[in-house]
Amino acid sequence: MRPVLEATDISVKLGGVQILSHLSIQIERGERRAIVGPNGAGKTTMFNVLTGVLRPQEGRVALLGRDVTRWDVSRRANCGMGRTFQITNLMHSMTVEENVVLALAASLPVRRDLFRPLASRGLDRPASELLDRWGLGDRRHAPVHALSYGERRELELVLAVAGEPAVLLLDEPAAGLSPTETARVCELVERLPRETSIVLIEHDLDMALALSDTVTVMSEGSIRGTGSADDPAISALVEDVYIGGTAEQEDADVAG
Amino acid sequence: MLRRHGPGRALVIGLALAGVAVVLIRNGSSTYSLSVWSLAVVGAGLGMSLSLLVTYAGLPSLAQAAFYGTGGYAVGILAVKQGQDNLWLGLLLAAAVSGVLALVLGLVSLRTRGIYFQIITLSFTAMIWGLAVKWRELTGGDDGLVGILSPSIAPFKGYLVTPQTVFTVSALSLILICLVVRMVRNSAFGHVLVGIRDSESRMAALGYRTTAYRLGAFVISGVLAAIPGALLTYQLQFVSPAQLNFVVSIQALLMVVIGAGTLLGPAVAGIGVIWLQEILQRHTDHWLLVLGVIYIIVAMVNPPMLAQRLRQRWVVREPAMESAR
Repeated sequence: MRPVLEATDISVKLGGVQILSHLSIQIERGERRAIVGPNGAGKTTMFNVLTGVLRPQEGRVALLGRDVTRWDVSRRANCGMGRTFQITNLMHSMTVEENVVLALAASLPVRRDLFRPLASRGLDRPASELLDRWGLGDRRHAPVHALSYGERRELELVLAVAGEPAVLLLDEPAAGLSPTETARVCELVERLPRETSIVLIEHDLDMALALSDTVTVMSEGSIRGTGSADDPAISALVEDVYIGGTAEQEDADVAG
Repeated sequence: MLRRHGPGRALVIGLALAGVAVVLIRNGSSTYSLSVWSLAVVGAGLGMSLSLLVTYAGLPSLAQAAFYGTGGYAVGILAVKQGQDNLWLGLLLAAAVSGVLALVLGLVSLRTRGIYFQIITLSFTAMIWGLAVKWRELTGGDDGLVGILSPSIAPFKGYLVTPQTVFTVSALSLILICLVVRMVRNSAFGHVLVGIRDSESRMAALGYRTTAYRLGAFVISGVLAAIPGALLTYQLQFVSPAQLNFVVSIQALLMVVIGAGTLLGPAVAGIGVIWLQEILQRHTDHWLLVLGVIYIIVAMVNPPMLAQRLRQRWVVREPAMESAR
């Protein structure tokens, strides 16, 4: 079966510095992949290339078998790509429900009813249902600025899944959260539909390993190895890139 | 914000009040004050057209004078060079020309944000102003176009000539502009605009073509500005580069800032600004100085904040926001 998301031979140079060099990655349907690596490894840059924020100088990106290298963010989103942001990024002047209604309306045809009231699109009920399902039902009418940081991250996740994406990219969903809030976000991610592929960047290694089937280890702009989350060779590699040391041997074992 | 906006009680009451106000002013004012009222409602129309862009799309454009003035020149040229004197045809042409201009400027300027967006829109206004000054054969240069005859308002009887008719048509155009802005605000389109204003990257990640939405708002706003621009030219029977001056853009922005926070605020502020200007001009030679001081005080008071504070104090909060059921 063809991969849901595939990046081939990606190279990115920013301001004369090589950030990514000849990097390739494949995400299968339903796969949960964590991308780990120290600061400066190029995780965020790769994320930006995958989502369309950044266009690579070399290489191609394919989404559900289609070449999307030159597509912008919104076009990729319409083709089945969802994402969350590292810094919460919500429509702050609106209520929780209005945020979700906008997320749901995004997948409706554009021309229909564009100048009729949003309320006439009948999206408030699906929005309520979605919020109930994700445990934010009682915060429905709260303005976004009144939400706690943890709740905002949860809402981010709800917005990202509203369009039922084929692949969901999560950019450090637990950054800045308390242990309780982190546990809650983990629970939500685990509850995502199994057929949704997930790519997760996470600094919290325990969380990354707990949520994923496979782990890709990055350092210095390239992939050091990919393997199962419980593979000892991967654990050794993770240890190596974070703590340093000589791990060329492990490299060779898991490369490819 | 997801209110059901059917005919709506507020809309009916608002329209009724506007109708009463138009009749009262039309029948109860001297010729002089009626002419000031006509200028005021046209100015308010300009403010409302910009409020669509600033309030809902978060785009503090400085190009509004360009669309306003282009609307004026469009009907001026149509009347003087083509001898065409139908009001509706004039308004249609004004709207179309400004709309095309807004499309072109939008395509260029909406790639930028913040101060860069303002510099581009300001430069564009200066460019159009320069064009009006230099292209003498078409625009009359510095002298402008004079002798623009009052247009016919066919199929209605007569011409846009008596102060009463001029005021009535101008006031109706303002009401129409307010209705369009209201419709945009309540529509799915308007909600998407606000979403983009709040977080463009999130809206793009949800699949919205954010630049297309901004461009749509920019064109609607340009078209709306052309209507009062054309009516001003018909009122004065004259159009000159002054109508394209960037100061007009700033004045429009001022109306929006003073009236921010409510739908009709910019219209009320627009009427107030024009009347204030008129009254000061009659009483002192230093009216610009006085006006400047008043504007500074108003800006310091921060009307949106004041309006919000008053609302919190005096208006009982609606239960559970105002969601649709």
